[in-house]
Amino acid sequence: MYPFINVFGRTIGMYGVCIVIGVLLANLFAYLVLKKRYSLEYDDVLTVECYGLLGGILGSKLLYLWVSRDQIDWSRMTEWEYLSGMLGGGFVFYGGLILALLFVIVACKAHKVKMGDYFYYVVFAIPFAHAFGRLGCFMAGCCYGRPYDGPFSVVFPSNSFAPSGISLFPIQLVESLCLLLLAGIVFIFCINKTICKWSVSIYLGGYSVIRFILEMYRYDEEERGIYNGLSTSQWISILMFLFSVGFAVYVLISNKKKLKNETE
Amino acid sequence: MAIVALILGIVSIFFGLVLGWTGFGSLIGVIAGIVGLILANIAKKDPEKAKLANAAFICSVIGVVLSAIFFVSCVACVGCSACLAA
Repeated sequence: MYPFINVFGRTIGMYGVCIVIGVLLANLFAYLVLKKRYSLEYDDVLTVECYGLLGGILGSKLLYLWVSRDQIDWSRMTEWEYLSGMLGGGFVFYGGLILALLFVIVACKAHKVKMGDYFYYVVFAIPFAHAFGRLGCFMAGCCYGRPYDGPFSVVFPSNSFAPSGISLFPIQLVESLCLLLLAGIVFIFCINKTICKWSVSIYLGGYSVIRFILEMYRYDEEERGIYNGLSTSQWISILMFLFSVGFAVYVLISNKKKLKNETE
Repeated sequence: MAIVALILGIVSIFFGLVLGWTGFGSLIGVIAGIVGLILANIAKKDPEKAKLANAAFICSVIGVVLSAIFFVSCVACVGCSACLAA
């Protein structure tokens, strides 16, 4: 809708502004939960988060390059402008999430941080920040929805990424709202120490379902790749859902073992 | 370590303010700022270096914010799609 703003003569993309606001607010809420609810220090969480951000940037970029590999002119990678554009634009969230989680695991081992002590308490921050990212998508016009004439349909201006002059489904706003709701539900688990271990499964399972369904209402399939009728993100959603079920089983078994040890 | 973190924080601010409009410049700024944050956090654990580490932390946060606004900006997204179409 409003892809750019002008600040002191500099053109700034609203997508970046939305993401940065989302991450800052998510960190603030995570800090408050750790400090006020669990009396834990935030420094170790921030260190691990930084590793996660590095992994997120690398993973999202790598998956973007993979899904766009047929559209990229690899012979032009030595051209400064082409390379700069490639590095600065285009990310796929799932690639970032997967590599971010791997980097977080490595960081916890390297810095001797017990992930379980923190991650279960602050995982709500991920869908919260992601919701702001989707607002950024709405501002920029990327990740747009199918042609649609019903209530709340949107028409993007000519300078946005979405096709202009066509009434589209507001998929970015719908996903942003779904993510905020998911963040709220996960938050309830995060602040309750007896059930906080379920927060990871709730988030991963919930998001995989949301993403799988909403992918059907997106209209930018050509850029994202379709395999056997499903998009890349839908295939990853299936794997993510299976992982969330497996993790839930692990939590169930470890809770039962803990209960058995306490009664003996 | 605190000094290295401060340098990285300042480098990140420089890249964010001066070269943030380029995809490559904003990427360098973000990575420098994030690494500066990690080192500042580790340095904070030493009470003697706490003030310098806090200064490095603040510089790194500012640098990451400035660089990230440009790095994830869809100005480059749109430019990139033009590259793909070319």
